[in-house]
Amino acid sequence: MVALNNVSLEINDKEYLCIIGPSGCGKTTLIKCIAGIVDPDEGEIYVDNKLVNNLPIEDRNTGYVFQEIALFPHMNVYDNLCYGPFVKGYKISSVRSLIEEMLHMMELYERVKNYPDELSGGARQKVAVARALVSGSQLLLLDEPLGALDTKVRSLLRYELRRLVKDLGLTAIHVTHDQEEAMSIADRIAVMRSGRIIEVGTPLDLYLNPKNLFTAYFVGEANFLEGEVIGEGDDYTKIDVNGYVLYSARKVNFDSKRVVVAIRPEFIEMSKKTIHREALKGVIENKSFLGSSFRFEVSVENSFVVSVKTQFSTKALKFDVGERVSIFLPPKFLLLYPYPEEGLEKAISIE
Amino acid sequence: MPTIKLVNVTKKYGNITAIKNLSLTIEDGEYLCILGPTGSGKTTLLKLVAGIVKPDKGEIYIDDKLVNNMPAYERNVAYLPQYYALFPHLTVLENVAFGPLSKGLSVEEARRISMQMLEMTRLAWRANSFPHELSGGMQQRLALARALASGAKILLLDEPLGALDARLRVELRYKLRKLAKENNLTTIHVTHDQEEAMIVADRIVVLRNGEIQQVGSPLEVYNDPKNIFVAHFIGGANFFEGFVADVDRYGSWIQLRNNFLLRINDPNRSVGERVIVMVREEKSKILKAKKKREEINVFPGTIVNTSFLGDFISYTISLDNGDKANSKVPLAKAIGKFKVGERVYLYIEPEDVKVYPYPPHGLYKEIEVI
Repeated sequence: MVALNNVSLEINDKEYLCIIGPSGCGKTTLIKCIAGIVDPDEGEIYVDNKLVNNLPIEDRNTGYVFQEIALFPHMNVYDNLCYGPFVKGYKISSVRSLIEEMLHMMELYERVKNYPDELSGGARQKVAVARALVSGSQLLLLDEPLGALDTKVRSLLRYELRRLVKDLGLTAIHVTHDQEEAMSIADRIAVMRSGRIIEVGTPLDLYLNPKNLFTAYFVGEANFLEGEVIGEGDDYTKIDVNGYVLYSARKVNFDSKRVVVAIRPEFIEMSKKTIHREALKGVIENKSFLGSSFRFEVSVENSFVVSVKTQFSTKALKFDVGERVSIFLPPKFLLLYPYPEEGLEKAISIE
Repeated sequence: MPTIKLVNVTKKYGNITAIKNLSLTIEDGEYLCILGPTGSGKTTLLKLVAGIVKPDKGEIYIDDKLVNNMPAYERNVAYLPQYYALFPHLTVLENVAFGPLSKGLSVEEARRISMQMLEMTRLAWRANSFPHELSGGMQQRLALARALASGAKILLLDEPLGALDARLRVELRYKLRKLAKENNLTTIHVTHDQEEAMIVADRIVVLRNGEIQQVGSPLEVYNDPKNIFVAHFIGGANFFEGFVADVDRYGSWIQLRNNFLLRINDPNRSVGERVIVMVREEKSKILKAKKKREEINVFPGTIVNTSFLGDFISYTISLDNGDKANSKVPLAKAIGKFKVGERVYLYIEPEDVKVYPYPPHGLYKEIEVI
């Protein structure tokens, strides 16, 4: 089995990089190679322009936080934090101020005397991160560091994690399967699939202009429609989708006439009145409430179904299942991809 | 399609009270979600209905029949625990057929039912594979098919999507609800994921320390949270401390930190009352410094952080009075508009503010989930 297939990636000093991808895509293997837990079969790994392929784990100066929280159960919080500096032969007095600072930053001060089994999952996770940070490593490797936690706790802790890394001027590589987590805290995201990095970019870039069909699918929600290019102008492309005409502000830069059109649900405009000359008619088939927004499934002219997201408002409340609506797909948000050889379903499959 | 009723149920483990004097009715054919942080008693509640643990006090009824002393296997419930175990040496089909066969059904009948469940969970094409040959998502669907094949009309699901990748969870939750509704099942689904609960549930029960905080439709618990904990646990919320400075016929004025005045539409407060006010992050609007048009509820501050959430961008504003607020702006309206360090106004419409009495142990204690 090939876990990593000819991967090249450069991570900048003090960067917060997230690696995302479905289970089994090779993300954990990748950071294990950087940590020195796994040796690459081919290729080189450099840290600060220094080849580290043959450097043992303990000399790589990396802090590693595992998916499963591993604290020393017989040591209290303070002793857990002292352990790293201690085995490295530092005098505890020399790192005391760093440890104190860390306890303060993590709001763990009242917990120093507690043992791991007396802490909640969130607090244990904070201790694990703090322990990696006080090791003095400039490079922090995080493998699903928030994976064992409740959604609400995850969404609160992720910001603290980024803040700490930035405050301490560290470089962090953070593996996660949670794309929202990655988007909200990463400087850049690397998307992996089947052992390869298929795209690297800032969160906004990957979301607005994904170069790859899989990225469009995996990062955020998207509607995918199959179509055919039937015309091109100076600043638009005309596409036929099941007999209905859509316009994209993007130019086709590939040969295939057969295309996949993608659009994010929140960019689709929906109204009870006809909103645009090029608007399509549809019927609301499903409505669900997401908190800050509503998500609708709209069957367009009995031909295809698109999901539409609208911000939570009195207007959105008034759309009901069964209702006829007019929807408009703004050309500037319509992404175009050549139809994949393996078929659309295979191209975006995560299983 | 059965109803389930819990009356004054208490369950203790040693000196820990997992469920405290809880009463709840689940309607026929309803899809109910139990939502709460770790240790809130969600799984215990499910096990009580399944018959795996017995209540110390109170009664549990299924279809108006007292089941306190009825063993799990007679309750006609399909229970899918968080850590389910598939039979590794049996094929997909055999895994599903196990239940019907052990109930004494003929091989043909068991096969027919099992294939039907596999069709429904879209696994029929893998009927002859072994569990380890399936992906995580498929294994999850297999466990579900096996639970459904028992023919039970009550489905009890403990974090049924918990072990899956975030992207797959999103796909499967829609299917789960559809499956339950098409088969007229009464479902109780335990989750700690509030978005998941809102999408699949007819009603949500918010649980904390073994007690129900609120029961209601997703819209109700989001729009009208009964207490600070619910407001915090479901959806993003900004909280400000203050006291009621003045009350008139149409509403009240709340004095926030450092004399910031907030107008609210609630006239039924008393002057001097110490309160916490809550505004949803997407209702906390952000205005360009130049574009200040509103007269009231406009608070100056500086953007100190931006965070990209996909369909929204979240801005953290450090207000000049020392408070902090998050403002969620739809992506299409936010692209390239605001940047860190920029001076802005936070604008809050009076009707979007919820008021709670100041909790006895402080705000922090009330919203603690970590």
